[in-house]
Amino acid sequence: MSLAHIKAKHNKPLVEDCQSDTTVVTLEYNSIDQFLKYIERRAFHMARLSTRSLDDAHDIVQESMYKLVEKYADKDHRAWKPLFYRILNSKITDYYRRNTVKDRLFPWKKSDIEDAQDYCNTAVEQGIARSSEEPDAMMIRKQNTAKLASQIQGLAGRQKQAFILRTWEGLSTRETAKAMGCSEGSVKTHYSRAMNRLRSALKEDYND
Amino acid sequence: MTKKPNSEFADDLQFLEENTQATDIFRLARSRKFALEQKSPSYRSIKWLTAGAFSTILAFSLMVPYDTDSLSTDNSIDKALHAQSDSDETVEELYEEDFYYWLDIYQTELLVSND
Repeated sequence: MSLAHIKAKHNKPLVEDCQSDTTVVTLEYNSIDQFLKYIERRAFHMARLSTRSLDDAHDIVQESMYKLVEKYADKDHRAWKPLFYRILNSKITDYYRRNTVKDRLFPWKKSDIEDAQDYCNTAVEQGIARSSEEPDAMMIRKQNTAKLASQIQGLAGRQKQAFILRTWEGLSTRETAKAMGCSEGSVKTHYSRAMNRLRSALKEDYND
Repeated sequence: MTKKPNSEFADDLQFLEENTQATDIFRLARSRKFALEQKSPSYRSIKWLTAGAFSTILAFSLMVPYDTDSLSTDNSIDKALHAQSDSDETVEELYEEDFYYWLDIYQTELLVSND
């Protein structure tokens, strides 16, 4: 399926407002390429925090994008987000399984773990500051972001997924359950535990 | 005043997303392009295919026994060895002939002297 064909097939006006769990949500994309452009950075950070390797994170994101376009490009636009995250989470799970086997067979070849704090520090230094922020506020935000990313990296797998999908992506409990392939009760449990852990680890940084 | 952690987390995560490194943004754009063009991420399969082919060839070469008669490179060596062994036999034969010739002469002289 060529790029032109995909664009011609899916580049049609979308009903701007759609209902998701009784709330009206305005979608920010109306074609598959716009959706991928919208989701790619967040998916990359999600994969990076889960895999601790930049190259592996890029591979996972590329494979997830490929599979979404291959299998689900003709599905309803509203289904792309939970489907994409379902694919992404399964790719991350496959990554953990491969690494477990690889580490057992070749224990001397364990890959270097890239610290989330290092990435955050580098990214923020190279990034563009918000125009409304003072330098000291920028520095505080940089430190908080680096600590938050490091703490998220330390969460258990399912807690990490639940937290990122609910807090970062803003998915509802039902949508998160679809993306994670579990029940809504499990999502609530994982999310609650993740929040408690992050609150206790970061309470000093988020208190005045 | 204690800020609501949930919204604060969301703000910081958004900040992290906005400050994605330029190299990563470029790679993501390329991945998106490949996904839309349905170019298969076959780098892993190529690596494993190559490794599998190499392992198969290596295993096959180790399992197949050597056939010394058919090795053409050793033919010239064998010929030289045969030639040398022939010559050795010839030399040995010559030595024996000389010996018997000498023995014959010795016996003849001995007989003549006894006479």
